[in-house]
Amino acid sequence: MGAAYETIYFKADACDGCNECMSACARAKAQSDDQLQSRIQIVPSGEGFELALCRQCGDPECVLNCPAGALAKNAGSGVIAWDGSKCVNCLLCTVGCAYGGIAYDAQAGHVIKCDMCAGDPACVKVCTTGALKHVKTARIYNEVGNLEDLFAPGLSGCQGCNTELIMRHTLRRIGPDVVVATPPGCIPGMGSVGYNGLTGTKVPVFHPLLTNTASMLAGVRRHYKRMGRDVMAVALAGDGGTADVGFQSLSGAAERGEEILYICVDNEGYMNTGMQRSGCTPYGAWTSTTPVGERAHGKTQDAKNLPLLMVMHNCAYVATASTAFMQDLYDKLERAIEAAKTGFAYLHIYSPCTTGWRFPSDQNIEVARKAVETNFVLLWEFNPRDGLQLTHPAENAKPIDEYLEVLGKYRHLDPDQVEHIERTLANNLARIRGFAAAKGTASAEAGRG
Amino acid sequence: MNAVDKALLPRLALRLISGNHACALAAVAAGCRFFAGYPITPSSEIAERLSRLLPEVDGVFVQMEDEIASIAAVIGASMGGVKALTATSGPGFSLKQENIGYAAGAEIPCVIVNVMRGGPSTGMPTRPAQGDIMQSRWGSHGDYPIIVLAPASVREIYSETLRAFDLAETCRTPVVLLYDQVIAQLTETVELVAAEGIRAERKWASGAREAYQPYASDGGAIPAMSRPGAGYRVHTTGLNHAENGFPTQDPETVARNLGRLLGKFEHHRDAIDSWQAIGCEDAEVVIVAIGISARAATRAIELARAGGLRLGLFRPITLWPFPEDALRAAAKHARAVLVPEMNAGQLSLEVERILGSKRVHAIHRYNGEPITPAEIAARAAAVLKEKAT
Repeated sequence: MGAAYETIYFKADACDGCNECMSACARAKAQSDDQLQSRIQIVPSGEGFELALCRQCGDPECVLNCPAGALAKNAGSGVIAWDGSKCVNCLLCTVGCAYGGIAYDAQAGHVIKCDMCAGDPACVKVCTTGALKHVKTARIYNEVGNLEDLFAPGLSGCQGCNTELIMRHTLRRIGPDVVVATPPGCIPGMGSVGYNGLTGTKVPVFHPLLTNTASMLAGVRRHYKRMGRDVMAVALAGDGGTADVGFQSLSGAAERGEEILYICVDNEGYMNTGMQRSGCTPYGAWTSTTPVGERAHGKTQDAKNLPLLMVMHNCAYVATASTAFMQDLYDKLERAIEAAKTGFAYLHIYSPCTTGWRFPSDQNIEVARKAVETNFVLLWEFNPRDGLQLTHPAENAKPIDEYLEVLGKYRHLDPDQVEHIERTLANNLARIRGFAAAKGTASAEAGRG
Repeated sequence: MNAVDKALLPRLALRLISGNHACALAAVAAGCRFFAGYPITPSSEIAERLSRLLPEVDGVFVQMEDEIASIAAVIGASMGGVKALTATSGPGFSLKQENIGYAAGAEIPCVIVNVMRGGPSTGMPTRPAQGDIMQSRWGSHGDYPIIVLAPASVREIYSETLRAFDLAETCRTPVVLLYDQVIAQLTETVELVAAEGIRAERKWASGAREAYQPYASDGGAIPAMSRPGAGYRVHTTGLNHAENGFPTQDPETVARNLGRLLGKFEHHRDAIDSWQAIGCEDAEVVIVAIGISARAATRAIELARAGGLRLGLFRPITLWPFPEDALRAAAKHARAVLVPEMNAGQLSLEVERILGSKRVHAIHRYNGEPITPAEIAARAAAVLKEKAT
């Protein structure tokens, strides 16, 4: 498998042509205010814009064309570096490039190209519209791509299931020295149990009861520890088994500081038994037990803020994550794995359900992304030493309509209900910010692990 | 016409519905205005239906955080004076047992539906079983009385749900409606009877408040409950209690009160007992079965009689207390008794207790597949052949 690299991603329809990126690049690379000296060029094209920028190609024409050996691709970073001491100014490199990624700078007197600013591109930092993004997921591909997928191929999930993605990614990273608990729900139903016993996990897995996942895992972990064996105890549980019937067991395990990694896959209801509401179902949502009709208009209560409840247990690590932000998810997963060696780690991953939430099966990641971009879902992490911090900016959130309108379960909402949701989200954000502002105070002393 | 009838009117008459749907409709018709439950296959349709039906009649539907909370909320609602229901399946039924004992001991009317699926533990959530026959009677600790009804068709789920609420109220007891996954999700034609307002009335306390004893009773052995806030002094507890409701460990008082509790159904057996006997008068073999196994037995009788073998069926509709006199009468002349049931041997134990083990044979199946009419007929023939040799 070839390596992947970090890259600068351009979303043309988000670009408003402000050219701040070009100014920033010129300043950073040539200490100049002349945008012509920028390595990145935004070019008007029709009614929009195009990008002229080195793509750091995997099989670069410029490098092949260079007769002087002045251009070379760095195998570690993927950046194609220009060596001025070898360049003969023949400009053959510019002929070969299809992306306008390398060009002659008359003021400098030689070719110039993007060097990715050593992993912190100046252009991206000044882009306010989101047209430029520094995409760092290459690390996941390079480091995790070679790890074994510990679920067999061919699980029987619904088309476009987000939970399957979570199961495969998390176990891949956790590795084979693990005992996994998957209480009743979609995860065993379509995953760890597999189909007719022919698929499922490649690691030891057990199917506890809905009431006692964290308790059974506590027994497992303590036994292995007593035996002197380093085996992780991991739960992959739904929100019903975590927030409702399993909460007593979860709370007890967290309070005792059991060395468990508990992953709650939150699809906001009992989707496996036919889409009944759970304590995590949000206000206004249709489910099979919060019907919509003349008298009823979906769920009348707000969702239980389960991850925040786990913060109040002062767990060794608590975080929320989303599959639309994989880098963030992997970062948190790594910290959770580390934390579970000495204490209780809790990861709450939002998992849009194409079947239960009523949206097209190819829209899963888009829905997950919109949930975060509208602040419906807040991404943050907590540990007792550093307190709580947001890991995805909550400023400039998009209007909540952009999220609600894509989901069939909210089709019936009236303006009052939307207002209620907006109010709830504002309260949630204020509360999380309150926790973030108080970071690293009393909780550090009380922290265990 | 009252509000209840009005709300239900468009739904009366012949309907093609599932067993769980029939249960939900019957509950509303019986005057049930409170449901608390938790999703569990294969009973969730009852909750789903009631989440829509109950608000229409100003009733309360609550989905609780677990099974224990569900039965506890039902008990609370009933103490408040409303007819209350919860529905579950095996794992949930196990979780509810401590509270069922509380309802039995404190004599709080309520109805619990248990749709039987494969077991033990999580078992086979989408497959039928009849493995909770003994648990429905003996599942909670200590000695207590309980009524268990075992309908065998969608129509009977409707009628027995009505009766369950009546018995719960008049006998001040939890009533379990016990049926298997097949009957629960089977779709059959049902003639829905008109709801005539509240059916059976709970016996409410009247008379002097000072003299009220919440667990003292007349000859019927059913103490009158007091309406909350009516000024009667009440103490409700899971502890053994005296006539005044307060805990006691005095041996004589405990024996007197527990004895009254354990014997209270004997005064009401006419209303409680219910069974069906088909062709038992001349039967060589009497089959004893409930639920889907009884449905198969009905067909087995036809098959066997066409071949010259006289089979009969005794079907307890009230499973507990078991209608044992009726069974003795039905099986009086039979050379053998055959008990087909979807478990490893539960109903057959009770039948053996009543008839003695000599004549009693059984088909025990616990693989999630219903027992077929042909199997019952063949086994009955084989049993007779054994007897002849």
